[in-house]
Amino acid sequence: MSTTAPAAHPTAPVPPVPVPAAPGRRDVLRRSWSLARAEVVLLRRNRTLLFSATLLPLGLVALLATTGGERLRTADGAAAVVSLLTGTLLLLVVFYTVLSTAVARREDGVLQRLRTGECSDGEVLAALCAPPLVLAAAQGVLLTALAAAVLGLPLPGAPLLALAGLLLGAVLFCLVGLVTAAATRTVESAQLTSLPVLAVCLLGAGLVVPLDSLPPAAAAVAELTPLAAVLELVRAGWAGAVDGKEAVGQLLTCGAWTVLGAFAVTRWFRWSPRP
Amino acid sequence: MTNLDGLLHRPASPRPATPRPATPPPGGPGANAVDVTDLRRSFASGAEAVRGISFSVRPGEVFALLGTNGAGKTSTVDVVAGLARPSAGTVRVLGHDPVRERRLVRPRTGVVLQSGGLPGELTVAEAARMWAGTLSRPRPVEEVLTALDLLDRGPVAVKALSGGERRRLDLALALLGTPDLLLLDEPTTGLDAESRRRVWDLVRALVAGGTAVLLTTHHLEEAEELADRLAVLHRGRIVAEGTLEEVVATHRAEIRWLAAAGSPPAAVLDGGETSALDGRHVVVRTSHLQRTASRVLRWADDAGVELAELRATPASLETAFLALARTDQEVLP
Repeated sequence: MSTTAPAAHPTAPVPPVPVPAAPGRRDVLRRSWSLARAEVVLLRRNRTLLFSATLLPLGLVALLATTGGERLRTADGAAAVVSLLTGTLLLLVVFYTVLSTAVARREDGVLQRLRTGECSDGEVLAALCAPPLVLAAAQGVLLTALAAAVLGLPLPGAPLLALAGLLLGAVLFCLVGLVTAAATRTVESAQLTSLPVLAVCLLGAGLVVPLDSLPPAAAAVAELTPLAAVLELVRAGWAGAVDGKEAVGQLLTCGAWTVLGAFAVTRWFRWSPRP
Repeated sequence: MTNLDGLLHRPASPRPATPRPATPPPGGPGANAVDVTDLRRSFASGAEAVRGISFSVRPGEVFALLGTNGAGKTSTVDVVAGLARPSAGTVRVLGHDPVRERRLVRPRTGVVLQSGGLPGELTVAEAARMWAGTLSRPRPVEEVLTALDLLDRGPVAVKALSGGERRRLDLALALLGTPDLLLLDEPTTGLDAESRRRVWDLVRALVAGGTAVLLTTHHLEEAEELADRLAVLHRGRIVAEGTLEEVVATHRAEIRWLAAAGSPPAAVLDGGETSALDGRHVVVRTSHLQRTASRVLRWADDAGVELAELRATPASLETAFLALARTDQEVLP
């Protein structure tokens, strides 16, 4: 909806006319909020998921604090802490929670029912992803504070870049969770179907074996895996040592994975328990 | 069911700023709520669940799709609900394509799926409020829960409901949006007799208010109670369609007795009646049960024959349905 000045007096000052919010956007927000609120209630009542999503990252900080020692207070140590915490949040809190929630809702017939209502497919999926994203954001803040206090983690030098990496990573791993859900029959089997994703991401990002210990060709391929690209961005943002060309390349890699993920969700996501 | 009247009166929208997004069907008043033409639906496996069916549902009527399990009822409803695309043919719902114009169709449609679920950890009230929050013209949640006798179950988790209560909750959600068209896929499965009758009363009240209903069922009694018109689906095809009387008329009444008594001579039966052996029984099929029965009894009296296990069965939807479901007949007149 738009407002225009009177045509006869194009130079006359136009009194401010309140532009009503587009009904479509308001409806989208209302519908998404209604679904997301229910998902938050469900997450709160799923003690197992909440436990694993909340305590595991906290346990990781405790583990780092007891084993890392002074090595973590160096620049390399800070990069390792950022990588571990970000990877843990994206894989365990975002990816796995979205995957198991999507499968559970599909197998219970909830997704099929939601599709009979007024929500668009995108709204349903966004609402499904909202609680893990909120949880990850809250944990990110908490972990950063804890890591700063306990491990001496500095604040990010280029916060916008770090934030962009985190946001892209969050969206990307929501999509990866939804795509993996398409190949997952039950909530229990999510423990199996998530393994290849976790393995590729952990190996590719150098969280299991340092990338510089790999052959150059393998390392080059590993850097193109989804988590590796995200972590590169976040680490660069945290360190504040931004190489514009590299950052653009990493943003493009993340963007390409995100577009591919969105396409895969559109093409393969299953809404019904029936094949 | 204490508040059916409330459901008949369409409420003023509690969100007046949000216009109803749909317009009446392009055909204007009197246009069909559903038009299905030559619909086919195949699966990736190659199996064809629906093989070229056509039907329409008018405003203010109940159209029932009857069929055995696997006949293609749910596959048809899925397409009409916009959950699946047809492999061939066209479907118009309230004048729109239910997939491409979903935004226009959904605010005016209520759907009860055979397998639609709700998160078990939500309470009844939370589930209903969640659903109402996604609708552009929701009725008050309490009003609908009251109508379905669920108000006192509001604080109970969905997973703790009985099968019948869950089905009533399914119906409640379908009615929350003030639909012009209701798609009911086996809506009373799992309900006890009393609950089933209450649901029927509710459906009748909605139809009296102008709502169109597409009902699938394999409960023949349900179709007899509710359907203004019906179609019998068998192996993906419509094998009979019309009013209840028209479909019943596709089958004839039967008189049967033990074959040991023998068959009546041809002179006893007139041109429209047939006599045949069906296992241990002689079966006479007729369109005029009383007249034929009296003739057969007279013949038996005159011949001194005892018709053991004598049974006369009038034509009914059940006999017609069973006959249609047993055959591979394509289309009956």
